[in-house]
Amino acid sequence: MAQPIYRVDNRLVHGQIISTWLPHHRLQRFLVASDTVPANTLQMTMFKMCVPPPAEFDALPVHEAAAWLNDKRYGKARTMVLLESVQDAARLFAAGHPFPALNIGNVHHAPGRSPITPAVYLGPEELSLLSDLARRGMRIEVRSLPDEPPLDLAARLTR
Amino acid sequence: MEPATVAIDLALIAACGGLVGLDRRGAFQAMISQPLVAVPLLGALLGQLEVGLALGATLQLLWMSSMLFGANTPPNETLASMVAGGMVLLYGKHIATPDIAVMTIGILLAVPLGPLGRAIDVRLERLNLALSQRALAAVAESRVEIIDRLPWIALGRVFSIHAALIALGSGVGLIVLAAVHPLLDGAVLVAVATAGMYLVPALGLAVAFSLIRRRRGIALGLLTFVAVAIMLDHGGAG
Amino acid sequence: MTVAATASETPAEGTVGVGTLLRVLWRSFFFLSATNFERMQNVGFAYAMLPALRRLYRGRALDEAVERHLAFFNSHPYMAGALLGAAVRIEEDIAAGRRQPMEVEAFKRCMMGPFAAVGDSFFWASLRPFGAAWAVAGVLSGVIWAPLAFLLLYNLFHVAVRGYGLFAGHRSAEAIIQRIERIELVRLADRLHIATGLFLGATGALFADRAMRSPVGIGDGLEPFLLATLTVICVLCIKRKMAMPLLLYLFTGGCIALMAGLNALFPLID
Repeated sequence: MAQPIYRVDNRLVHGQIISTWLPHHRLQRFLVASDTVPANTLQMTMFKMCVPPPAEFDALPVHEAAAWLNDKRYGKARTMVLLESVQDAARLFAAGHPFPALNIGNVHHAPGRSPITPAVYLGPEELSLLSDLARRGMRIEVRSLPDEPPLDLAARLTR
Repeated sequence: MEPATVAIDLALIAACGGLVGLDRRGAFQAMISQPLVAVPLLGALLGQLEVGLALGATLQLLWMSSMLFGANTPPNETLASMVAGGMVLLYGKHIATPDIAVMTIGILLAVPLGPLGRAIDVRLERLNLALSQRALAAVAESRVEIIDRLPWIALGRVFSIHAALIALGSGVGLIVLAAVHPLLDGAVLVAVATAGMYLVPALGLAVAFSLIRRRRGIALGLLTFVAVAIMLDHGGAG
Repeated sequence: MTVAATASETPAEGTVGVGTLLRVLWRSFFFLSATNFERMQNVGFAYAMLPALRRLYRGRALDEAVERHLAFFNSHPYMAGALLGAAVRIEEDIAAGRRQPMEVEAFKRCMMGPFAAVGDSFFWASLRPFGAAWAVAGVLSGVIWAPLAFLLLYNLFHVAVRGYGLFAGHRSAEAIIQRIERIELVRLADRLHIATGLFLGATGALFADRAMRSPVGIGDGLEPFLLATLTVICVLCIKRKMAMPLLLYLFTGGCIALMAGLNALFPLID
């Protein structure tokens, strides 16, 4: 049974996900762990629409997502867990779901953040959260598309 | 080969290259910049439509996976294709009708311009950062009319870079083709032609096939391949 | 441009008329021009919104409205038409005091991802490969207008989605999502993937036929087998993440070295 892929992407489901990650890993299920998305009916409609069947889309608040993942409710489906921010990733981890690896796909610019790659900007807060996760043994890579060479962020942070 | 007419053709290539460079990303995205459209267009302008079509078809397949997704910058298929097209079409107009070996050498010479073009596109996006900052400054100074001009500055850069590189690449490529081709002996030319007839199309098909998300599409592709091959074989024999 | 023709119609103050919407549509074609890594298409979005914002606001209010649209934005250029239309509509409501400025920002932030997903997977990953595969097969079978037909077919969809999206977005604001949903672009994309395979298969057979009729044909009707085998090898290499330029140099270099080397040992070709 495949482990879910955990990804931080500020746009959640978008072109890179549907057109590259989905076929590359033959993904069957997407789970967004976010406290705002499940309550936003417009966003939910749009996400459900853009995920091509037979793949499924769901969104849960971070705490419920942790429980759902701990129960392995995804079963045999190859799953991608999408997180809007590094903060949400840290919260999922802290909520009792210590996942082993994290992909950072897109984190866009904000004041105080500096570029790691053209698509990923991280500030002091994100970097301290990530080095904390890295110290607990999480593998952290920065990569937008599956066929790019990944950048090993955990190694860089714990050095 | 008259230098004056070659110079006129290079100017034509520059203008056409700059325009398709704009279409690729900065303006319209009408797909005139796709190799299958751009190279035959250049071919028609240089009176070599047939060559442009044959070359464009192969280049289209080879660069089919170059797609713009979000903040990811793909190789610049337009630059690589237009330079391959430019040099082969110039060769055809001024030296001799290009055979498959010449076309293949042209494709091989221009392929590195795809990744090089990506590096240039990344630089251009970095330069555009100043435009975004200028837009924000314009708002702070209550001079929003400045924003009306900003896209044109970016487009000007894209046009000039594509025009210059495509004309330069085509000119240099023509010289290299003219110099290298006579030096190659028969066996090497046959080898290049064989690679151009089998390997290059196979690689292009492979690139295109790996884009298909549905297994049923790939299965259908195999079926039509066999069906059309049998049909053509019988048609050719009759 | 068709702006002048419709500009005679004067819409009520505080709303945006057809003429202004057409100017927004025209400017949406330059949406990607000033893309930058920090805020992506923010300048393009603000540039396209300007004609509408100028109708709705004056002075400081205009500056603030423009600034809203200079925030990070990243979506698909064609699908942005619908988002621009809806944003214009929400701005009308904000200008009239019916809604809060943060609503338009929230709408754009939520929708850019899913709209990009639909646009990227339909236009970039499905319609374009389909059209190109069809046109390549056309060119190889001697149809010289195939690239032109590809251009027309593709842009029919492209301009329709931009234009329909903009006007429908303006009419329905957030409800544009249900309208886009009804077009079922995602299901159509799936069908196009299957059809692309069909035309690529034909393209392969046509390439084999071209090789058969060339001076480097290998005879005995073996060309399709050779081409198919090479294609399968190339697919396997691509699945192993090898880049096209590398494979091209590796294989052609190998082929030339092998053939020239063999010929040096057993001279067959003069």
